[in-house]
Amino acid sequence: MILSVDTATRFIGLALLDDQKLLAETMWRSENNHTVELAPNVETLLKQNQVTARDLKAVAVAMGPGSFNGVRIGLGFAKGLSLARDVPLIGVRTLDIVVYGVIPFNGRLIAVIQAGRGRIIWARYQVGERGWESASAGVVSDWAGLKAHAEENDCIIGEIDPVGSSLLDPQKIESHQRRPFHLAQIARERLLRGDVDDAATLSPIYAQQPASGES
Amino acid sequence: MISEGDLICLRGELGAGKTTLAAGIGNGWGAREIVNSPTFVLVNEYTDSRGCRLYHIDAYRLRDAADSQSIALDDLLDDPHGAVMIEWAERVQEALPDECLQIDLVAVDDHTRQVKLEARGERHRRLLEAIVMREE
Repeated sequence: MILSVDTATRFIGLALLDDQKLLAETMWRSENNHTVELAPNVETLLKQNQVTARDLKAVAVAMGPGSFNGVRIGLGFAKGLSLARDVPLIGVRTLDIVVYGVIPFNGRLIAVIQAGRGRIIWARYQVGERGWESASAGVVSDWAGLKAHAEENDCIIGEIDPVGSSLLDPQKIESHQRRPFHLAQIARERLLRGDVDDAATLSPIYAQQPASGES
Repeated sequence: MISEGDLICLRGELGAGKTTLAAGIGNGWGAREIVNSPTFVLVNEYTDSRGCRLYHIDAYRLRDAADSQSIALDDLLDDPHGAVMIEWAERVQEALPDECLQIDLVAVDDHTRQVKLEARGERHRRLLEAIVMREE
């Protein structure tokens, strides 16, 4: 059983993956109270599915980029659980979750998450040996900033709000909320490969802030 | 008068009265906690009886805008149920939105302070108008 925890943006997501089978998945919009909401919701999710912390074989967590507090809360919680239960911890980049499961095509993807106050965090992905691989680090900008950087064949996927959809070519965007189920699936694949993280040293990933004067 | 999404920037030299004014603003806003200087803790969080939050930040010990990441300034500014009041705002100016109510304090002598209020953006202009109406 893998528990996945994604608190990287205002959307919090939890999932329980039993081998390849999704047991439960829940997502909700937090009112900036990740600290207050996370642990009780994990407890409820486990209880509803007759699962206890002893059943967990690994913990997956979105390690950023994203909200500074959100990422740290998720990582802190996941590390605590991983260390206490002595199970592997697997940290996954937030934007990797966004592109997971997108059918590879001959072009590039730009994955987007919301960063608050009209800003977004985005990065470019291209098809590699293991499907979509990140081709750039996550950067903070507004929608106009992304539009200026997007190229002809880039498709944009993720948390696209009305401002984004009004600015961008509707043929090239797909509004898509990243799923904690996908986070758990990525973690399962990595667990099978033995590619796990060290709970003592795993650190959050932060997006690059725009250089001064540019936003 | 302060509501969610407002940003109050307090500027002035040491001893100009920023914390004293902040304490007055916090108490007037309805903070249920004691409003004191966050110089060492960097951020105080107050709540009112409706559950709204007021973040009182002291940027004196922050080096620059990049350093403001370490107190999750972005998250505080993005809180839909929170307002932000920041002392030494000029130290992290680049990390702050353009729209704010800026209050400059100057100590004229031991008992006199000169206060300049400047509103940027529509919502802060309305806030300033409300303050002026109340004073008149």
